[in-house]
Amino acid sequence: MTEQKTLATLTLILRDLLGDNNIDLTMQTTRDDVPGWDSFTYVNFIVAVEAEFRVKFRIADVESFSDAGAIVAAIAAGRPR
Amino acid sequence: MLFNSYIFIFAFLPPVLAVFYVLGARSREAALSWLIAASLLFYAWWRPLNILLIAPSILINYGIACYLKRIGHSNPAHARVVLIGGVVFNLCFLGYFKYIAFGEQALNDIFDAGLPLTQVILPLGISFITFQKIAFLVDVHAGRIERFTFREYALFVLFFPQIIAGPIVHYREMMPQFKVASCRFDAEDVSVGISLFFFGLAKKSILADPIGRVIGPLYDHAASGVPQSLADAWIAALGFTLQIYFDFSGYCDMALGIARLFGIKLPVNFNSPLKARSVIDFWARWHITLTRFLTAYIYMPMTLYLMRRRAANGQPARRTRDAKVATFLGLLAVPTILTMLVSGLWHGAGYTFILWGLLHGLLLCVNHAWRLIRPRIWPDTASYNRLAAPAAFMLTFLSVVFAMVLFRSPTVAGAAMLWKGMIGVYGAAMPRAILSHLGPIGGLLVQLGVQPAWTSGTMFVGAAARIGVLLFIALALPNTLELLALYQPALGVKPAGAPGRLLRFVAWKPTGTWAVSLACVALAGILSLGELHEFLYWRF
Amino acid sequence: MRGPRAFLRIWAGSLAGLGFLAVAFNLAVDPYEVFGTPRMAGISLFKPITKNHAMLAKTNQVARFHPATVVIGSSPIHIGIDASTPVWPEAMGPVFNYGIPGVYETSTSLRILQEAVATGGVKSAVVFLDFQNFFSPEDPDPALLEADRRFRSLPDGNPNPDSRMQRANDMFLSVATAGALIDSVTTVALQRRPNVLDLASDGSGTEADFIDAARNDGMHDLFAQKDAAEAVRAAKLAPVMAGWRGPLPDLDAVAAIVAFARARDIGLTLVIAPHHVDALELYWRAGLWPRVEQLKTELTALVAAQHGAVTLWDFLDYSSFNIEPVPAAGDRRTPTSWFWEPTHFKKQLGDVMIQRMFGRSAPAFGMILTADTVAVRNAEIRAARRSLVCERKQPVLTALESPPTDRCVRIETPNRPT
Repeated sequence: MTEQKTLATLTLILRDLLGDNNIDLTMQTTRDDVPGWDSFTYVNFIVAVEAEFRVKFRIADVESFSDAGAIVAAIAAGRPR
Repeated sequence: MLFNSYIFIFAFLPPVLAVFYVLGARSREAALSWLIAASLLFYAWWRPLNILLIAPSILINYGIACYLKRIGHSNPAHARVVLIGGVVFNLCFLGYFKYIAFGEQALNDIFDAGLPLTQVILPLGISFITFQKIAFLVDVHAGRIERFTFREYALFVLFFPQIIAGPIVHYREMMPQFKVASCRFDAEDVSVGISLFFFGLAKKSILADPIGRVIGPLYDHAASGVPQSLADAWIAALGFTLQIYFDFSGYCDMALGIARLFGIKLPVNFNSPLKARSVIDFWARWHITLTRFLTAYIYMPMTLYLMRRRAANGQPARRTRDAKVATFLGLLAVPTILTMLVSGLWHGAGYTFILWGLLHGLLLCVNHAWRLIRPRIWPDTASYNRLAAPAAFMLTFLSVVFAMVLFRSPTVAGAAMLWKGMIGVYGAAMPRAILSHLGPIGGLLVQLGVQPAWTSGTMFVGAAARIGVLLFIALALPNTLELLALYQPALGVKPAGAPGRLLRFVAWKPTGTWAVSLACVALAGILSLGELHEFLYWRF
Repeated sequence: MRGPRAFLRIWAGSLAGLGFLAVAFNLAVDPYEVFGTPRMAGISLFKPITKNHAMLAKTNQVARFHPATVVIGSSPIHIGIDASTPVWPEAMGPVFNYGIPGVYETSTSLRILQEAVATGGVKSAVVFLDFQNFFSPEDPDPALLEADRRFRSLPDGNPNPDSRMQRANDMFLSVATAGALIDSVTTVALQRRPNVLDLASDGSGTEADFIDAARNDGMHDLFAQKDAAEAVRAAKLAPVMAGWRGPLPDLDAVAAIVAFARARDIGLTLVIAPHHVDALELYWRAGLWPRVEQLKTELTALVAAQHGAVTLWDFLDYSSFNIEPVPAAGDRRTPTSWFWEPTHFKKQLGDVMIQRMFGRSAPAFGMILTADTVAVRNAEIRAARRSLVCERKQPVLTALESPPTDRCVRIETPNRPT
């Protein structure tokens, strides 16, 4: 799966969570950039992503993902080839 | 040593900076070592014993971190145990110094245990230092810190602009800066640094401290059982909210400014929280680095655990919007309220702080619930954001102000008394002199039930005017981060789109006008450091 | 746009320049009389802000003034005794008024006397005593003790090591604080006001606040307000003294004043300060008059032991000065002659007392208490009071409409000097 595809899936998950179809994630998007993406929704999002991609992030990583790109990278690293 | 003291501004900071620049011109290592020495002096100044109390904790944490780094990759299970041990050690250290007396008091209150209270010296800044070290251990365990020397570690822990009251920084955001810092005089850094520092000093000594002197007696009276009428109760609540607002805002600005003098940017910690339109938003603007810490290390692990468990049980993780109330409670309320309880307790060992934390936890839950429910009853997000904004702001503001009463009141009963005053239980009273000066309006007020009182009209008007001015500054004017946005005053500040017309006009630049204006601000701040205290002898 | 180096240069220059201006302005106006800068008409002729800083101001003034005579007491003395009134005998001058308004203890008088004597030239001292202080065994207010950190000597007479530091601190805070700057500006702004409060270089206060209050509220309100306060005070003191045995509190403080004056060869005059009959009646009705008599007796004994080196004057009586009638409520025109309110006498009465104590001719007001006269004096005052309140010669009690509770028994009134 390419980075762009992963990113598109993340966007769909977040749109679904926040009920806002105007969201478009880029590799540089941070939580501050998306209105309503608070810590509750963020954890919700992470668990949804884990289920979607069948990965499990480390807690320390969840806490420190700096932007959407970091999540994409972690998915790529954590997915069984 | 306090930032807002003569000794710091005139005797400590200038020579420390001068030597730092001189050493920095030859070797960064030497300059940074000097910075560590100066930080130790700064920390030990008030009570040298503090150093002896805090030093063992610093050294033990260093030992744990070294050990974690060595075994980290080879034995993850063992490393995990060591990390947990380290965190527990830090919490016990903080617990002993900060909470033992309160714990005993609570046991006495609940079980009538009759325990004698242990008197301990609370080492300066222990709450901040402890949290910072926990974050450090977690970072080392997670492998985010590749290499660190004892000197780097010491610099991270002791760096004096943030040691006493934050911001709570991460090793990963500080050390890269120290590694490339020029450690030399840089006119731009110094200009930005002194601007931030003196803005902060002025906030603290001109805006925060005077209103504190006005509201102090009101809380004391309420705590000793004297009912406060409507106006006095609101002066107490609003006055303290604004006092702590400008006190903390000023402190954060000063910390940012001092760090910048050494070429270092601290993370943003305070961003006009009273402008918030939700309690969630408030906590993203008030004591930001604390919220960041609590979210990362308490809230998220808890929520993550609960949500994963739910997902593992085959419940869909998505579409929480449609969740039932019970699900909502489990997933959101428990972690939120627990986190805010910890936050309350962290702010102070006392029932009022616990209640304050619980209250904010509750407010956050209501806020989150509304975020889930609102789209069902008001689907158009754009129109909601536009139309509900004033109400959202007012509701948030009032919630924060009500809760702040707990933060200042010496007792829960005193806070309750002020709350009752704020909703008019003890009636409305105004100084006689003001009512008579208001003419027909005063007559109307009396008809409406306002009682004339033999209290000082000058003080009443003074307090009300002060609160008005402070509210205007807090709500209507751009904050320091916005003013200095062109010069990156703090880590994590992003340009918020195109600046408004006012902001473009007043934006800080190293111009002559700003230099003279800042000199006035600095002079006002410096002149407000001292006051001729004299007992008022007059008695008639 | 200029660069940051220019910014720093301009900033530092402006800060230094403005700071210098602020300090110079405070120094020139000298709102607290700390420096003794010559007063300038329209700028600093009057010093209204000294009202809240009397101890600071007078302690600095006295060092510059070098008095031969110092007058000591509380707020009534600060306001009612004029240090430069012509009725002072020339031999006693220059006179300094070291009266300090406010909550005041007799022990403070000793500290003030010590400080005045430390200036070098003091030959005589006039110490006014408030009788109420002798009915309160409380320790001096800690804030008051803090105030004399700037005194040159400690209570035991040894040099005060903190004095220089405190005075340096006073000077610094009087020029380099925002509060001082605001007070300087206020001082200048108030200069053109009519009847502005002042503190003369000889320490004498002005009656400006009373003049304003009398014009705005009338004399009756002034009396009524203070009567209420004194009634509270008397009610508080009565139970304290009810079970009191032995010498009165504060008497040891007077003994210390006497001992200090004698050791330094200072001519000492002790004065029991006058009060209006409103106040006297309040204490009488609180059952404290026997204590007033006890005070006079004990003071007399103390003074008698000094073999003429100390004089004790008593102005606390029911003479025509102390029983002057109070104008009716609502009357804002009729002035009083001798009192602003029950505890504060007017400068006119101050002059009468000075003349009586130190001058040649004066109306018969008060008298010197000696072992021979004190018992008669006490009896005379009781008789004068009885004839006053029982015969209702004139309406005296403004706030106390109810008649006295003690029985009026007509007895022979001894001849009293009036």
